[in-house]
Amino acid sequence: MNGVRVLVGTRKGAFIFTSNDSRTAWQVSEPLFAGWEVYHIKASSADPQRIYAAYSTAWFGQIVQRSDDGGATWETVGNEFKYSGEVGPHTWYDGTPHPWEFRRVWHLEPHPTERDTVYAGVEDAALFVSKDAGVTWTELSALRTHESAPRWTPGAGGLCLHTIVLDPSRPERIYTAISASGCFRSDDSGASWTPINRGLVSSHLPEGTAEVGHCVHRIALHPSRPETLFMQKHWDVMRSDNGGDDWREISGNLPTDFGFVVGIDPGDPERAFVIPIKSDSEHFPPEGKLRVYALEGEDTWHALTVGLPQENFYGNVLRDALATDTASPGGIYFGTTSGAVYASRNAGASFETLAEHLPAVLSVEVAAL
Amino acid sequence: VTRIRVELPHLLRRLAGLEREIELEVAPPQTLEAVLVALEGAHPALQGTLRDPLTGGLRPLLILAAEGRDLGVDLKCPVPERVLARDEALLIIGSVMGG
Repeated sequence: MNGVRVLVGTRKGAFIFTSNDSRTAWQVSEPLFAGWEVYHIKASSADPQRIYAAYSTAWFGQIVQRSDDGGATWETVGNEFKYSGEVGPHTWYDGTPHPWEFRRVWHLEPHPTERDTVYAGVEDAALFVSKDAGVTWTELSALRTHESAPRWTPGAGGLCLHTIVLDPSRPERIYTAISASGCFRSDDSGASWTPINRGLVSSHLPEGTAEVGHCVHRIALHPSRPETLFMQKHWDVMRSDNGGDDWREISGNLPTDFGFVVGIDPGDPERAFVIPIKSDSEHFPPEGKLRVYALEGEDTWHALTVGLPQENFYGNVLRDALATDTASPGGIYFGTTSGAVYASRNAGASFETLAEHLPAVLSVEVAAL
Repeated sequence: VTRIRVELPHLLRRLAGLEREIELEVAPPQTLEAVLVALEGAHPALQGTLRDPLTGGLRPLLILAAEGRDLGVDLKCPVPERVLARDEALLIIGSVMGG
């Protein structure tokens, strides 16, 4: 690794932090896409110089841009996300039918080996793929037309497909997570989908163990152990060891099991990270202390605090705002809605502050150079 | 073909790398829709930013204005005379939201 590029999407633009290979000296870019809400900006692991950015405003809609030179220059690519075929309704908050409407891209997931292939998760929930580096987009419509889809309901942020996880050992396997519908897996490159929510229990559902309707906030997979998934649900931290077929709760001694992010130590596939948030109404950590918790056993969590504010912190860390690099020891990077970005180059033993006064951070991604 | 003046909002100027006011050639019939089609054709980075991709209508938070008035949302309306005469620019305005 010759350095790290941390890509930060915020409410009012994006920023790129670049470091040397020791991750000790950082440079930050001027704001990119200033004034736009940058829901996600992510580099291709097949070509780290290639970066995709999805940004939008209520006035001008969705923009997707691509850089092929590490963010120095950008080109506008396709922004037409047209649902395939006849579009039926999903279920609105009040239980009435509501038409599917495209609002924005939440997440871009470049294919790990195919340089020109990139997936997009959008609101209202659907999965799109581009095979030409973002120029044109085609819906993988079997997900949105799954027999359960008319029962899908939006979460507080909308009916958003916010998480796309690709299994590096099985290119045809795709995981998605939708708020507030749950997790779905495809084993045939998106041609068909299976809800994988067995073991989840959600008190907001009339039937707490329903097949769909769970507000999954984020899932994560370690490339060396792709059958194991970790999940931060609306409440509860969960684990699956069979590709999502069954889940069990591992919240253990966490001070609260509500939160948004979940990540995994690149050097230890058993060591998940979460950042507990007090509750679904109080979106800040308990006692004003910003703490990353690392899994150290089946359901025992250890607080990582060095370098993080331990008083008067009342920000949040959103679902796409934590990432890890591939170095050893592993790097952890996350951003807060109060505009701070923190980095650890020692797997969480300590953190340093990369920025303190950005707009609210929506997403953080890392590209190893 | 008529050459008119169009004034763009800040974010779209930045997106397409344009000045505040640009000149645009509009083919007949010179309707508001023809202006937006010409604008998107001349500057592809603006595609999808002015009209709803599904309905083709003006995005809900945008206003087209000239001659001191809001021109409404019917894009089949003709471009105002003073714009066609280049006496003033057609304004594309983002609605004010927030405090």
